[in-house]
Amino acid sequence: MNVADTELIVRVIGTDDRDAFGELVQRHQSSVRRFLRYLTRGNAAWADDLAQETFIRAYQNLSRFRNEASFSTWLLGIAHNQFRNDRRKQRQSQTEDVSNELIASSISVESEAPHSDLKHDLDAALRQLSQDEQAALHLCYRQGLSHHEAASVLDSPIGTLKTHLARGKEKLRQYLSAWNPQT
Amino acid sequence: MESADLNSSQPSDAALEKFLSTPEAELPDNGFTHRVLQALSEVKAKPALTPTPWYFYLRLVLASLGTAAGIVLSWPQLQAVDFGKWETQISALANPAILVLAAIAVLSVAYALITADRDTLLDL
Repeated sequence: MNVADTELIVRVIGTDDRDAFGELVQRHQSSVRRFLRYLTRGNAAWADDLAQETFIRAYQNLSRFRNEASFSTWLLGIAHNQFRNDRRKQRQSQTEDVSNELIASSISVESEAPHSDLKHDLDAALRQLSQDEQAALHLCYRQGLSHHEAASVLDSPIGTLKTHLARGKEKLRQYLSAWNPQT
Repeated sequence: MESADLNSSQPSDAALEKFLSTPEAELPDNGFTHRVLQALSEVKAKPALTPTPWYFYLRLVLASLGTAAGIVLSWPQLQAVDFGKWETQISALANPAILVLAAIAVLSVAYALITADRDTLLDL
């Protein structure tokens, strides 16, 4: 029996049904955690901490969910905001160097065995893109969001999102044209 | 499972599109939901639908009664007011500079409210 998200949300709001919220978490944990792993450049531990905080915030503010966007888009917006706030705090406390080291040492976006094919190299190239470009490509292609939805998640104008998409793709295209499997 | 395109030595735009559109595998839960629910047990939920407190209605009734009493008591004096004088004072407000300032003030308040709303919605 597959109950709709909205029905589960009503249960959580109406009767503080934790099981219903657990079901929502289970349904959406993968997309939220994958998105945050991209934003944190593969730092799984950091991404999961942010994902947990995202769901707690969502729970606390569930009554404000207006159903204008899908629940998953709403969650991704909160996740993006959590990430931005956390990064800002890190910058303020000047721990950027430490976290960058951590990120570089723990990149493992998808635990695939290393292989010297184009896909593996493209995965690596994708991680070289700017955070905005990566997030835009991830949301529109991997999560299948519309431009409008992705722009709302990233809290940026749709034109900016399209620019990030075009630039990201252009960089990957350049990478492709210079691709040499021997290197 | 990889496409032939992605493993070929002649990458193309189609390969790029295919690579970007390849759906990723679902991340296994691995106890994540349990951890969230455990963390939630320590978090006090905000009341989802706060019923309007009874004193809100009491205030409303008292304020209405006060306004009505004020109007009734001051009615004789109100009738004696010469509203004609006010017209000239109000017409001074039609000054374009004042209108521009008023518009800026209204827009500022509206912006502040919208921003506050957005912050409370997404800066959760």
